[in-house]
Amino acid sequence: MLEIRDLHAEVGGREILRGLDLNLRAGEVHAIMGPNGSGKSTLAQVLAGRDTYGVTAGTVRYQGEDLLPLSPEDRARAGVFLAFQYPVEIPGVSNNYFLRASLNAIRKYQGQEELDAVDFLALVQKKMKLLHMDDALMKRAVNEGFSGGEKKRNEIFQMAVLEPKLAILDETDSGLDIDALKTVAAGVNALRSPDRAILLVTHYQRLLTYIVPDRVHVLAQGRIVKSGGKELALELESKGYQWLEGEQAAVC
Amino acid sequence: MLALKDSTTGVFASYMARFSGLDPRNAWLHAMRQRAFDRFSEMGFPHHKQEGWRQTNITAISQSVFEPRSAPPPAQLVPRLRSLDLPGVDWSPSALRLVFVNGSFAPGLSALDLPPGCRITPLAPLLAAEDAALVAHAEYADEREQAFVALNTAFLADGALVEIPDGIELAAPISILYLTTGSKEEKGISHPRTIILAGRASAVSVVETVAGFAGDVYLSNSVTSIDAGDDARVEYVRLQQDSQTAFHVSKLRTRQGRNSRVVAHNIALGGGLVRNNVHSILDGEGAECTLNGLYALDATQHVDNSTILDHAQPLCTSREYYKGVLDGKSVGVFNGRIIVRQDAQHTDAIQSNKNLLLSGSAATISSQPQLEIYADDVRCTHGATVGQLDAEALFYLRSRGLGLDESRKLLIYAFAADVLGRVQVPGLREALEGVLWQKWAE
Ligand SMILES: Nc1ncnc2c1ncn2[C@@H]1O[C@H](COP(=O)(O)OP(=O)(O)O)[C@@H](O)[C@H]1O
Ligand SMILES: [Mg+2]
Repeated sequence: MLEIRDLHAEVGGREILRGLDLNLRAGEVHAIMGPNGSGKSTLAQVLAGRDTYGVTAGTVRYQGEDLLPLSPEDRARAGVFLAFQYPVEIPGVSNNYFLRASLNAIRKYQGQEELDAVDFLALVQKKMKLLHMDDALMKRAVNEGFSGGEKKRNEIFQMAVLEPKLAILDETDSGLDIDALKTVAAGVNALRSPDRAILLVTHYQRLLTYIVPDRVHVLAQGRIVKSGGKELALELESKGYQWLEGEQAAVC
Repeated sequence: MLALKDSTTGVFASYMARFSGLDPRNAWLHAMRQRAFDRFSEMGFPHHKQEGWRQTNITAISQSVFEPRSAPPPAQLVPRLRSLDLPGVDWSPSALRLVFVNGSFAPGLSALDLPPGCRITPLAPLLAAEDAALVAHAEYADEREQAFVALNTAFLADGALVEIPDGIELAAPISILYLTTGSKEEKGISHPRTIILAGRASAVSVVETVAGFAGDVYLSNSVTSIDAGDDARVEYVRLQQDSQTAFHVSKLRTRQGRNSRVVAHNIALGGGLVRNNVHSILDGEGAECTLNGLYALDATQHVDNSTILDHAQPLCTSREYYKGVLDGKSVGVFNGRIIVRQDAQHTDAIQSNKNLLLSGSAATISSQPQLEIYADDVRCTHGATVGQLDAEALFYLRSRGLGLDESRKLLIYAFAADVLGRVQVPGLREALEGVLWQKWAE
């Protein structure tokens, strides 16, 4: 599904990703953990096509095709979804308009019929129930005045409606209380399927008790310094990221 | 400044010749025109070194000859008119509609199914009859020092009167269209005049459109006055859709009685060089005035909005929201003056001017608030912003599959949404959204 080889990316002349390798197969859920500033969001944004970050070397293949030349919209239309660490507020654009335009852009690209208002509403109501969301939210402007937790939940709701092939979740757990975390996890778990892959970016182990990953990778200073099974997350939790700095030294 | 009568250009000679050609037989009208023409001759056109005109150079207006052109024959005019996208004009047979072409009423294009007691009518016959309403409202002392208003009055011959008696609430909006034609060689001119008199506790909506055909060169110099009686509610929309090669100068004067509400929208979409002057006088306790503006500019358009909110009485509220979307090498100017007179205690005034520059440094905006407060117990706030499309928001939309163009369009549209959202005239907001959507689709 996703093959990243020796990825280097910079921002403002500073190299953030320094030779990152990752292999994510369809049906798998991988977690990427790492200290603040290690480049987790940079990786997520590079995969979604943010042009602030310059890819200086390496390749990214998505479903066997070169991902990097694609525009952000074409990536989304091809099934890539990023749940933002900091979802953006867009005053003046309703959630309803936005999400329908988004879904139909994706459907059109994939050769499916566009949904009319009635079918869209039915779909949205089903997904809202899944995420315990209030109907009134659809009329509100995108993320405007949402609490931190509501924004994160809205990301997962969008994901549930858009049904991407590759979902990248950037710290979706931060700012959620335990109930919201469980709801969000249920939303993500509902999406797990043999033809999808999910990349969970997180700082804490907490999320991984509800969404159990197949693999855990540790990102430090721009590259994966350790990979393992789900136990690795617990090990990190108890030993802290300092333990990794040592690992990192060993790798260098 | 240079008084026009001393100038050696052909411009003054042209205005003089036109003025001399006016029929002097109606003594009242002629005296009013003569006073106005004398003032205009004395003052000349404003100069860009003059206070209030520094950011807007109008030499293209003051040094060119503009003369009224005859209206094209209906067989040509009607199809061309219908091809213009004019969301403010209701062409249905049952509409209340007044259409003027090059300054003269066009009965064939108009429709007047008059509600009882109201007068919605062209001015020409009323001027001839020395109608009392016109005697009282055609000339205001506070406008004497304004050259363009003087010019409009000097050539006052037709226009629209909307007079709603006390207690009458008109549900259907009234549409007024002023169309001006002219070419590069034969530049046209018109002096639209609209007088809206809303009686005590009456309600009315008026949508005034000034427009021209693409490529036409002309000056439209309009003056609109609104007098809202006690407890009256007036919604006034001015849709400026002149050709990009046209010049447009306007004056809106509003005066409000006790507890009246006036909402005046100013939507500037067209015109090459545009100056809009607004003077709103809150002249009765508890009056509320909202000035709601949008200018959507591109290419080399220059639009100057100079507004005055004049709080003359206590307990009045004013809200001024002007937004600009500027593309290409366009220039926007906003001067928002708020005057709070000594008696106007408990004034509540908010002014905001927000601008979106689409093309980075090529477009420019100058925004200036000016507060003159002579009362001590008032709330007066103002704020101006200039920004560009939010890159984060753009990326967010694209990351959800919306194309770059559509995402840009959506964000511009969202920026302007609150201004359009204040338009209450049924169906107009949606129609305007359509026009803007087209404009930003380019
Ligand atoms: N747009 C940017 N401009 C400048 N520096 C950036 C930008 N984005 C990220 N960085 C820097 O890159 C490093 C990695 O950031 P990030 O990928 O957000 O880390 P993480 O998500 O792991 O906390 C940090 O040092 C951060 O300051
Ligand atoms: Mg991050």
